[in-house]
Amino acid sequence: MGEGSLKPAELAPYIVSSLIEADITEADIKAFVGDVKPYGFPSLAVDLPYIDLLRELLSGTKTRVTTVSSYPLGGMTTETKIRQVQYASEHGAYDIDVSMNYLAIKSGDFGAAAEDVRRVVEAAGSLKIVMIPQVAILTNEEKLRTCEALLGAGCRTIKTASGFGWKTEVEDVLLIKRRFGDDLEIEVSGGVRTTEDALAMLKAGAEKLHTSTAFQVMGLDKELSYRKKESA
Amino acid sequence: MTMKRNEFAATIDHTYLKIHTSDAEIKRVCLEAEKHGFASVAIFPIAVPLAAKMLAGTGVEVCVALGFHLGSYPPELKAYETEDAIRKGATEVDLVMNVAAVKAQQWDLLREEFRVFREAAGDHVAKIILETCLLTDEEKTRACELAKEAALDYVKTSTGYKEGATVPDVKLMHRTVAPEVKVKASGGIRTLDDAMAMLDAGASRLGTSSGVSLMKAFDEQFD
Repeated sequence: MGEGSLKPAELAPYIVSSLIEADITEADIKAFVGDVKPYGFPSLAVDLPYIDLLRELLSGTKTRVTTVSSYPLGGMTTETKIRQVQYASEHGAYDIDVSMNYLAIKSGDFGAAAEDVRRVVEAAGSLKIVMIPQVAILTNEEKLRTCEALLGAGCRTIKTASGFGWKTEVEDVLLIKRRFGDDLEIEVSGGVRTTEDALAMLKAGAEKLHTSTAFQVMGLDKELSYRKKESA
Repeated sequence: MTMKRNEFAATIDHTYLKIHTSDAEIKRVCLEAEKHGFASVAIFPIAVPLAAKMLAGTGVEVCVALGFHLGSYPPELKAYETEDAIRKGATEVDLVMNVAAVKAQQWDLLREEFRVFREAAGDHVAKIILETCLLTDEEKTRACELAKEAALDYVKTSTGYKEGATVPDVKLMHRTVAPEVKVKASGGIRTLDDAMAMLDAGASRLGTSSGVSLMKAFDEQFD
């Protein structure tokens, strides 16, 4: 692309580096933090059981702890999400990425989708709620109506997708940005793999980029320890 | 294996775990399950109230998919999720095991998870999903032994979001847990040959989204 004004290394302040998978152990989290800590990312994302460990490993740094709820499929009830959000809050996470009720959205029931968001936001206290509209499964009209619903329900930030195969296109960010401007903070996830992807998303209006391949996105010739284990 | 049509249908958990689903799709799946006499409809917690309403009085169970699909959070949250689903109308509960606990050999944590799951499930059929594709044979065996110790009703191979059931895994699981605990094979079961191979290997229940086409194939083969 080449039109971005940032160099790869300057991408770090926008990157949320995540390590969320079924088989991630404490040892993996420790190795992961060892790998990424020097880059001063704004946030690292881990699953619920590792909030305490991550806070400990990041103490003295400005990097925050992000976690997830009803993730990544969005099948859980409002009550279960509230319980998970309370857990994250009690354990000191900074923010939590919460899947929306895609069944309600795909059934055209935006009232029910908004009610779910409203109750989750209400239960969050000072924990920041980031809702996931999962743009890849929505029509353009559904994307806009979903964002409208979550804004009306008191959520100010979205993470566009959950990753795990559900992607975000630059057009999605442009569409949402054009309609909602600065009222809605957009974090992008799903398909941010290269420096070009990252610069294009930022140019379109994204404020943060979630990725499980942070080094690759920054154009660095190194791999996360977990990835090395995976490919071994 | 010789089996009557209704016996074969009663092995199938008619599974609909797509994230882009609508009420109309859930209704369709419930009607199909009733028509064919499947064991259950397997769905996400958010779809349970609708499915419970649709299936009331049909004899088809409302099977809920819990912990999907990473399963990586503490027992207390899993217990809550289980109770919540049952309160809303689920009659069978399928929960993803904490795979990370197995990987880190935190057997006490796993034992605790299975115990609270059994307790939260009460008299409802409780199935624990191992996600076998992530485990060594030794880890599968250990998880099966703990499931048996906790008196769970089924050990289940897969979420369907990664690699699915294999005949060797079903055999290993059946050998380890039978007769007290049953085996559910799930993930990648699309043809009648797949289904029969799993049943021959020791599975009592099949988790599949291909139930309707499996019944069609059954009729063609055995009519």
